[in-house]
Formats: sequence, C-alpha cells, structure tokens
Amino acid sequence: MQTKQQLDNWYKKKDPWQYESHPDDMYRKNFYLAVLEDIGPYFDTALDLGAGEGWITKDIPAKQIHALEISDEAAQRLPNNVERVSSVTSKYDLVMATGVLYAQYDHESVAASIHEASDIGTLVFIGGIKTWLKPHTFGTKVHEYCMLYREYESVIQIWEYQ
Amino acid sequence: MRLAHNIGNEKHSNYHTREQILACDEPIGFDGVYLNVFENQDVLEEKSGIMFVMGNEMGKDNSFDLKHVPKLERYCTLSQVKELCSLYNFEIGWHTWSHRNLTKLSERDIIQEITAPFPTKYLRYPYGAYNDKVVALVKAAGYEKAYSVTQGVRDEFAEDADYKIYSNYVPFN
Repeated sequence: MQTKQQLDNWYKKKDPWQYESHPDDMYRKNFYLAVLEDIGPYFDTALDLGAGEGWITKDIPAKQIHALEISDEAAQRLPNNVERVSSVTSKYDLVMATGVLYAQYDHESVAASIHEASDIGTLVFIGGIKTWLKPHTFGTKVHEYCMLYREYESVIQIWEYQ
Repeated sequence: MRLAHNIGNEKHSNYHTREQILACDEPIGFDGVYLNVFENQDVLEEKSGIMFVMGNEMGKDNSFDLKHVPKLERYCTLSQVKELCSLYNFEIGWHTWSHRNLTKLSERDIIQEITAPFPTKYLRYPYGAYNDKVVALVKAAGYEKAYSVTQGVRDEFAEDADYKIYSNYVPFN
C-alpha cells in the first residue's frame, strides 16, 4: 500500500498521470460529468475522496465542493472552488471516489469514509478500472456504466445510499 | 421516424419551421438537440419521437460544424433534453460523443463513441453512416434500434432491420 510520503513524491510533478493531455482522460472526464448531470443535475454539497489535484473535482456540479486528499503536494494544487477537508465531519448529497478503491490505497479506510459521509439518499459515485476496483457496497446500485479507458475497461457505479 | 435538427426560419435543410413540425404526423427524431427545440417546445405537445443527444456538445454550440450550417446555434444541456422527454412523448437517444463517421473508426473508437452516459435504447448514426462492423458493435452495446439518415432499409424483415432504420426529413412543404 502506498504511503503518504510515496504519494507526495509522486505528486512533486504536476499532473503525474497526464490526465490533462491524454485523450482517454478527457473522454473519461466528459463521461463522468455527463453521468453527474444525468443523476443530479446539481448538488448542494459534494465530497471527493482522493481528489488528487482536483482535475475532476473542480467541475463537480455542486454549490459546495469538499476534497479529502492525503497528499499535501497534490492538495496544494486544488482549485479555489474546492475546499480541502482533513476528515469527514458532515453528510453530503454526493460522495465521489474515483480511482481510489484500489489495493494500492487504503480502500477500507476510503470505504469507511464514504459510509461516514453518506446519509439516506446520498448518491455515491464510484469510478475506476474494473479489475482493480475492490468490491464495496454503498446501498442500492442504481446505474453501472463501462467504458474503454487507456488499455483498461473502466466502470462507473452509482449507488443510492440507504 | 422523420428527421429534424433546428426549429427556425432559416432556409436550410437543417431548419424546420414551427408550422412544418406541427404539420408532421409521424414520430420525429431531433438530432443535436438544439436549444431552439427547447425554446419552441410547445410544438411538441402532440408529437412523439426521440431526442438524439451528442455528448461532447451538450450545452455548447455548433461551431465545430459551421461550414455545413448557416449560423451558430447552441445545443441543449442534458437536463433540458431530459425535461423535454419528461414533458412530452419523447425518449432520449444517443448521437455519439463527437459526431465522427463511425465507419472510419477503429473498433475501440466506435465502442467509445457509442457508449452513452445514461440509459438509452436508441442510437442515431452520425452522417447516417454504418457498415456491418458498426451494426455488430451497436447491437453488442445493447441498443434496440439504430437510425440512419442517408441509407437504410425499409423492409422490416431484412437482416438487422432494427439497426438500419432509414429516416427521411420532416416534410418541408
């Protein structure tokens, strides 16, 4: 499992995964935002767990956007419309976790935070590479989409928390 | 099902007047979907059909297509299209993400283009263009019907007829 130090080292360089220049990441982001408009279209409060530098976070259609990000190097690049929080202290209308429920991260802790941040009716948006995603459940799954992403199959799961 | 794009008074095949839409007694497939359809939505009152959304253009304008059309128009947001479908007898369909000719793409790119970010049963081929490979991938993606505007079969018993449905324009006279 990656440590905070390893993540900080990884994020010394801006956009280490090259999300901003890879066409499949533009595709993935457009897909995410369209799904959010479909299930929203707009949220009062949203939390992004493992937000990184906020490349997707900043465009979440929500009045108040919070980000939980373990890496200080990544979090210092969060855009102005995103507020970094150090822990979950309230419930949200939308909880997102994309690319973090993986074995390389503390996915049990992320899942626990998702439960903590969710109330009845909260929509939970899980995204990630299909074969890497650890199986967690967050109520009733209302949608699942698959898309081709780089050399992988990527999935989006929408859960309604209960 | 008939084809329409904009509702307006421009003299161009991409435009139908309100009167022409009102006079059409067949289901209509709107491609785009343009904001002027939303703004003229009262003419949809007794109509039915499909709103074919283009993913990358939702809420944006048609500047990418300006050499083919007489003027700049905006597209509806997804929420506006969903509102039209909830108010009138229309269903939502998919017109791909970027309106590229599917017959010229790799299998991987076709799959990306036809994967919609919401549940839908209907696809409109960009430029109406399909071939056997495209039809096979559209079927595999779970679509129930796919519509063309430039080719297609009218024989409902033809092979894969539901994926080669020909649409002519809403009558202009």
